[in-house]
Amino acid sequence: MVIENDLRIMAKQYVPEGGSFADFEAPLFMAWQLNQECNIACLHCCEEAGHFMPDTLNSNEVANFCEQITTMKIPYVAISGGEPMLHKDFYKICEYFRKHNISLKVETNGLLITKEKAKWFGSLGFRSVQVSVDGATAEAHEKLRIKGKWQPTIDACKYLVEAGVTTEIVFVPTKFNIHETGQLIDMAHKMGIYGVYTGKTMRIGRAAENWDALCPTDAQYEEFFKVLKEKQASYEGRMKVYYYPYDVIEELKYRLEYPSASLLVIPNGKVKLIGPMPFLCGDLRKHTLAEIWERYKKSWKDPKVTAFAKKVIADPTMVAKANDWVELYN
Amino acid sequence: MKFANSVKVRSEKFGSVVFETLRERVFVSNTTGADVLKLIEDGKTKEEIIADLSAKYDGNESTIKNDIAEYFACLEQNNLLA
Ligand SMILES: C[S@@+](CC[C@H](N)C(=O)[O-])C[C@H]1O[C@@H](n2cnc3c(N)ncnc32)[C@H](O)[C@@H]1O
Ligand code: SF4
Repeated sequence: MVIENDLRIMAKQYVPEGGSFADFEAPLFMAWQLNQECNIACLHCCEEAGHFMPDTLNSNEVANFCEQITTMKIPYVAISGGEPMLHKDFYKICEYFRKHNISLKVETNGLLITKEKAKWFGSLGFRSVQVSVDGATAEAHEKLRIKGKWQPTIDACKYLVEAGVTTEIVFVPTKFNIHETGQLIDMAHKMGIYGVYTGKTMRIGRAAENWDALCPTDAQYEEFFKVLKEKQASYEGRMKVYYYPYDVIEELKYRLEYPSASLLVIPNGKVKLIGPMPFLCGDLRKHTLAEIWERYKKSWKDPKVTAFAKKVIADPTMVAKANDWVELYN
Repeated sequence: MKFANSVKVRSEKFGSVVFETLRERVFVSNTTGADVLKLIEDGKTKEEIIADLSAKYDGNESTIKNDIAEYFACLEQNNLLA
């Protein structure tokens, strides 16, 4: 019997060493954008969130999708939006996944999290709740997150921590908040936050429209990564400071070679190949999740996908087309 | 023995995949390792696991003990156990 070295950490996330994402019988991770509606209007929103979309999956379709996730034994689900807490089935969906012991992360602007709601999160044992905080001051945060008040967002984080929830902060750098990165990380640690996550802003959706006003300069990014490196070292073992050093183009190059074992479902039930590309590889209204997984595997080899990816790599402004969906195999 | 809350194990054709969802790290294991993982999931103790596998693989118990000790060390090192 030989088992030494059998438990190998996969060098590339979600891809077995010496193997491929296609070796898995089902996805390992499901990213689900529950809705398009939002209670605020961030200048950088890659989802261009705002109003409710009438083609959003209805309650029966939502329930059917949840059931397929459990049947396929998908271990980890991340719920996002729009603002997912505005979705009428949000609580039911979360309770269902937790009842089936699926690791669950929610990405939220935090504005609907009261003390009571935080206790509900605490009682269900979420993997984490990720709250978007885009500044160490109200001024910086509110300049980006139009109508999104900073103090209630910070209070939401405090309520979550008090309720024993693994609470994470996501920070998106722009010209006018990037200088507060270090201060926000220090603040997060004092608040008992589990981790702070950040990386370069993606030129998608409203961020593409507002690019000149938002995109930090090279010098600002250089300083940003220097601060992150220092903070990561100084908080090691006490708080996770995670930053993704690559931009969306580098990510795309990497994914072409190593697609991840994950699916991204948008509010109308269509399934995207990856956030920064417009391709759809399935539709929950037409296909089962198992069929979509097979289509997803096939899609990465589709010449339309590789040709588009090459074009984007040559001209990064084309990432702005990521929301102009293109269906593969109708 | 027990896995940490954030750890999910799933059977695959090649063995098992172990997903530590908090740190978002994925591990793969062949079918022999998958047997150990299944026994941990069933809540067996270290001793019970060694006994079970010695019977199943019909091998030298001390070699099996060593193999399993290494395997457990790897699980512990990667924060996979509760
Ligand atoms: C689209 S939002 C949905 C969840 C929730 N409404 C929120 O704001 O947290 C998910 C995350 O994406 C981030 N985000 C939005 N637009 C982005 C962009 N252009 N580049 C990078 N991150 C972005 C948000 O700041 C947020 O942390
Ligand atoms: S980033 Fe989140 S909070 Fe901001 S507009 Fe988009 S969905 Fe809404």
